[in-house]
Amino acid sequence: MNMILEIKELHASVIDDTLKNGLKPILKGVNLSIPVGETHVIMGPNGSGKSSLSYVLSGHPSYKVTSGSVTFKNQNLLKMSPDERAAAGLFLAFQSPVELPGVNNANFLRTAVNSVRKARGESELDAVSFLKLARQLAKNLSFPADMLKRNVNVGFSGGEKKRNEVLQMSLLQPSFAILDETDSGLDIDALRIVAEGVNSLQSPSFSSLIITHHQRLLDYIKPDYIHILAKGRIIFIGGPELSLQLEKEGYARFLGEVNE
Amino acid sequence: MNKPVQNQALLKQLKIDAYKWGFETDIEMDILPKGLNEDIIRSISARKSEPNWMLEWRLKSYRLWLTMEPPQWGKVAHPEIDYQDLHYYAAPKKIKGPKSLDEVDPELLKTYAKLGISLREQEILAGVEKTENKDVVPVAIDAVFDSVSIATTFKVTLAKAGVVFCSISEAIQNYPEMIQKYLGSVVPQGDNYYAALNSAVFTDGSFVYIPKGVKCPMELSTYFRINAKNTGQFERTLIIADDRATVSYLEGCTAPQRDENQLHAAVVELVAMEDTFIKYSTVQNWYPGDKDGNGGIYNFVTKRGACRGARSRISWTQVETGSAITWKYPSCILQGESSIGEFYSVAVTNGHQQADTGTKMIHIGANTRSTILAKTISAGNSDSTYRGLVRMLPNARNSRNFTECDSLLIGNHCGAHTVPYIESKNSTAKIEHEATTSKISEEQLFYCQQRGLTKEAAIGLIVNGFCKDVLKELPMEFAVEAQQLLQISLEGSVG
Amino acid sequence: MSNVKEHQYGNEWIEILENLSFSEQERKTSNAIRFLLANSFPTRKTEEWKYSDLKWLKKIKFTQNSVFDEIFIQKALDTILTDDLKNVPRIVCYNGRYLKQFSTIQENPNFFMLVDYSKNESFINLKNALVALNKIFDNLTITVKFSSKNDMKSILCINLGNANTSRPCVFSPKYHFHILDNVQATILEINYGEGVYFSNSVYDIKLDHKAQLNYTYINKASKKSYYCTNTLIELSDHTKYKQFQLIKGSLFSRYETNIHLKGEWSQAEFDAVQILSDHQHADITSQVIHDVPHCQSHQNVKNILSDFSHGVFQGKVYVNRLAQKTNAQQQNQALLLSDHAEINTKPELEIYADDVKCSHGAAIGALDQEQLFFLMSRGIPYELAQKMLINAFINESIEKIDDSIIQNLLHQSIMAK
Repeated sequence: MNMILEIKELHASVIDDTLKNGLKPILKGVNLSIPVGETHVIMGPNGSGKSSLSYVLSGHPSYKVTSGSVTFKNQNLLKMSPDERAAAGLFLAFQSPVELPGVNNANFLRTAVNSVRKARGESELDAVSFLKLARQLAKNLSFPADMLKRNVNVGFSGGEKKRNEVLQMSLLQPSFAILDETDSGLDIDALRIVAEGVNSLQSPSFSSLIITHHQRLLDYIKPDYIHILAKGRIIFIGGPELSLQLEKEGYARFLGEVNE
Repeated sequence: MNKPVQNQALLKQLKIDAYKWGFETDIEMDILPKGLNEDIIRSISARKSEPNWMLEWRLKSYRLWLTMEPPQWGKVAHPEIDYQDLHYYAAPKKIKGPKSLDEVDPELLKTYAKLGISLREQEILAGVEKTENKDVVPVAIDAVFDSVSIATTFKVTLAKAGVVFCSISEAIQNYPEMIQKYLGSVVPQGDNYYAALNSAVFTDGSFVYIPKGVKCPMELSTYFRINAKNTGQFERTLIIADDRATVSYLEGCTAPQRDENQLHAAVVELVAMEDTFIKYSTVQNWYPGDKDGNGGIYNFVTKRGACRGARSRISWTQVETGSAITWKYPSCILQGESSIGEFYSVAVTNGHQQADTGTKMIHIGANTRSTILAKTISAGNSDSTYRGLVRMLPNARNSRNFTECDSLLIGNHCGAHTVPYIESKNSTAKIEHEATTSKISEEQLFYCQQRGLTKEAAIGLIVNGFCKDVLKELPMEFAVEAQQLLQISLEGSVG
Repeated sequence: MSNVKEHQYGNEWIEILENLSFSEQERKTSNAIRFLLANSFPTRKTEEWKYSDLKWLKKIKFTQNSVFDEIFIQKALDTILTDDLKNVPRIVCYNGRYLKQFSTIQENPNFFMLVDYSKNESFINLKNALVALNKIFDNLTITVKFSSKNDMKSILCINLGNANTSRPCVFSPKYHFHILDNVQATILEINYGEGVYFSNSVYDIKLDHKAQLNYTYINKASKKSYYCTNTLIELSDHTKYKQFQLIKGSLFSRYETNIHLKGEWSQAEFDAVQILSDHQHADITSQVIHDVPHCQSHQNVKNILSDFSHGVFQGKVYVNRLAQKTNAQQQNQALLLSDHAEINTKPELEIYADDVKCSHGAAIGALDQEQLFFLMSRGIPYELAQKMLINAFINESIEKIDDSIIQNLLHQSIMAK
């Protein structure tokens, strides 16, 4: 089977200067493979390393991979800088999107789109065609028009920030998206809009990894597999029905089997 | 609904004698004549039977002091101090060096009892047993009366853990190597005018050594009392925490009510090795002078801690309510990698008090952290200044500082000032500083008054809330005392 | 003991004065010289000069003489006068001389504009060494009055400096801007020049009842030049004063601003952006005095420091007992872009009134790592991401300026090499 992402025995630490060796281990041997075209979900208790995994995959400077490998489209992902990963088609929708005071949203989006296009060997979009595209996509996400004129995420509500993430995803056209709790803090209508935004990217060549606590997003986006991440490792893999079971029973049954 | 009424009653009771520590102990004293010269220093050294190196150290300090001038940069004003018009040594006659508790003059024990401090170990332990609160631990005390330490409690218990807790005079006799190695290593003799003076004439103070890997089993405390007239108090404290040691140290102080100003110029040095934690708490309640600004203590103090080892941590907490003038900047030299410096301060001034206090955080090593939280409350005709320095040196990579200074003015005849110095020579270091000045809002006052509190009680309550983040850093038994002190200090601040 | 010191310090000034060819006689008659001799030469031990060192003033042998260089002037004006600025009434000065032939604002008998070269020692009452040093020379004083009788509302001041003699020159202009009742005025000042010279100017700015002034000051002079300014701004009631300084030029520069809020319901807003590189040193020092109730002051200083540059901010807010309901804010943000750059900041509050809202803040560090990561995770390469964040940092200040011509000019000045 053709894999888009293959994680093998991944160990990673967060850099913490207050500790003697400066590293606090978070991921302790993660194995995860995602075939092209599939949607996988990661669930797990708080503090299990879900967000850390998404940061490690996108190359956050606060994390250090201590051993293991990550192959993305047959390339060594860990050797690439965050922008190279984005150009290669990896997209992370942040759990808490960063505010950029003084950076105009439209300008930011265009710079991002053109950086990625340039890296992929595509021609850059001129201002007019970019704006046309951005406005169309923003409209699909029920974004007010002035959202493009404002500074990136500054003064945005929680829901607006999440929609802005999906807007960026739609513009950058990734082949693999990580959605880190993109559903949290959204009301029902916003959730549906966000899910539709994600679904609009679905194609046989698009894959995704969805980190969530709730079953409700999975009513809109149908996963192929659900993984349970606990204490830095994938401890269980199940089908789509697993989320319903977790919703009812919690993690306790699965956690009992984990040894440190 | 009962509580506010109780508070009011408490407040009324306290109001009768605003400064309740102002009494004088009548006791026979051995006092050196007024004046400062090499002979006086020789006499102090001789009375303490000091080795020659100690005398030479004092004389060197004195000669340095002669070349120095008093610092002018503080926002405090006072008439020039006549250093020849002071006594530099005053000790209760019956004490010739620290003795066992049984030999201490009962008059002195009475004095401390009156201040609410028991020096009898059995009583202390009994007191602790009575409270059902498991967090209350017995406190070992070094009691310094004017120029000398009169008793140190729980020495035996501490010795069992390997902890040395004694007067500095005793330490000079018994641990000369450590004194020679560390005395003046954090605050050099010529550091500043008052530190040089202290180095020349210091008479007593406390010495603490916590050996490797030891967590000090009890809180250590020194209680300073100035009693004699026209006498300066120059105490010297040295605390050394060896690798992986932990200690919490408290300091309290009071003085009788007098019309003239008295000088208190102390030096405190802390040395923290690898993986240590030294917590140093002060409740400073020297006599502040009367409502017209007569009398009170000039409190010119140099306190500094050196975080020498990696991951060492020094935390200063101070509640400054007393003294006519306070001039002190408990500081941290963050040399060891990943070392941590903290400064939590509440300074309350009322009447004609002047306080210029703050801290210095000198980041030398990589990954060092510092936190400064300073609350300043000014009332009456007083002036209060926060003055602080945060310095990031070129090797302080990835170091961080966070500073918050908040001032509260009560009334329209006082001043509150903030003077931070922020210096960075490292692009990876991050400094954040915030300061605000405000008053107690009418809404808050009205709300409290509507619930039955007097205006004064309401202010006390709100001020305590304003200081909460600092007060919670104090060891428990001190926190209660500090809260009451805040209220008393603000007596009469409301028109 | 104090005599010895005066003597010592005095000597340092004597040397400087001798070098500037002041005679013994002049030294006796000038109050400004007497002031200099009676006070210490500023050193780092002087609190106000803790972070800026004037020692170059002793080292460089400045002269008052300068040579008229028409080619330079013409070239400089061609660079400065963009289409937007061409038609703005202007005053052009060169090495401290008013150039009538290049200026479009001429002397006016109705006192709207005056040029004077006589000694003026009583000009503004600021007691400091640089003001005294300015006053010892017979030098240019330009007075501009903005009045409702006159439709001159926006003016452009161009100050050119040029080192064309064997010795670097010093010039000490004085400016008096007076905005009369109900008038709204705009002043744009551009400082530009080549080579080593020292411009030591003094400004006296007065706003009368309900007057408004937008003052933009740009220093894009040579990175070898020395600039010092001392400004006294006195605000009457219901006034609005807005100042913006962009500092890109000069090897050493210091801008001292004193804002005196003397009338109720007035507002002062003064921002600055320093963009320094190489071994540049720039010092923003300010004092805001709130003397009356109901006034506001807002200050925001940003430093972008690369290479070996050194930024300084010293700002003091003083609130008098009577100045109840004052709202005063101060903010300093510094970006250190190199391991050799340095920032020294001292925001200071001195408050004597209780019903006030005063605050200051300082944030110092490198670019925010989370922001950089966020941009890079969207495919933007590191260098471009860095540039975007620096521009955003500057934009926050420039966006506050209402005038789009000035906004554009600032953007151009920032982009220019």
